[in-house]
Amino acid sequence: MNEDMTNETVNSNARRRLVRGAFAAPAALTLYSGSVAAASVSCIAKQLTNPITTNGDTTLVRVPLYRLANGANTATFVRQADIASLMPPGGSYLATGQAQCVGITGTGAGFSVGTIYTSPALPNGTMPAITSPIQYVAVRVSATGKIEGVISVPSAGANTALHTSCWTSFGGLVPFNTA
Amino acid sequence: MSHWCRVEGLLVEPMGHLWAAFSPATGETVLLNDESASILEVLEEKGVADTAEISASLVVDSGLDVDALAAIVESAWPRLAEAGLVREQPIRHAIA
Repeated sequence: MNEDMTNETVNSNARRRLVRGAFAAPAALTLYSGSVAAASVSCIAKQLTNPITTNGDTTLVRVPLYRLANGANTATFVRQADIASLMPPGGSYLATGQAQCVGITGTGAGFSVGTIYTSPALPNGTMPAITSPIQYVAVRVSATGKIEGVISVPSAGANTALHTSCWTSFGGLVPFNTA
Repeated sequence: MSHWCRVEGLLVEPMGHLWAAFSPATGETVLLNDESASILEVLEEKGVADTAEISASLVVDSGLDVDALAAIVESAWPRLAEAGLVREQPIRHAIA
């Protein structure tokens, strides 16, 4: 058997196993990790010794950061597309296509923390690219289930949701970094 | 219509009658049924695709018509994204 045939066989496995006429709802079931559970217990302890005030918010979730760089001046963003995937329609404070700047270095390449932009880009057309390795920020969810904002905005770098090592535990290979 | 791609570094392996998928984006492993795995297979081949393209690729193997498939595939994106298996591909906009 040549290599091409081998690859084709592997790539077609799932589709060949489909039952004709009965395409069920696609499912993805999370496996429970004992090691993560152990790490989470430690994180809970840290949370209890250093609680965060979130103005009555009830839940924190994370979203990936996107970065624009113009030399040493950079700006990082959260995108509505990522927040929208967590919430029902209308559950986000950002509209379709919008991104909020949540952190800058230097001059921020013309962007400012807290400001919401529609399709932000540099003058040369460069769009924000996902951070590599991926970085995350926490967003606040209100008691009514709506995303209210990023945890560290407008005070960028302050009021972080979790201890850094805890975000590392939750993120696996993609540790958390503050905006 | 949104375009989707697999998360970089995603690993998918058969496990019994299901599939195990490890996502570097979440650091978690999830179990998939054949339907989810087949969507990821098509995305692996195409790189980036929308619901219509995915559905068209699954018509022969599923035996369903493309409209019925499209409804199922479209409803699956939020869960697949939440599990760190796929991400929405940003659409480039012209500079004003």
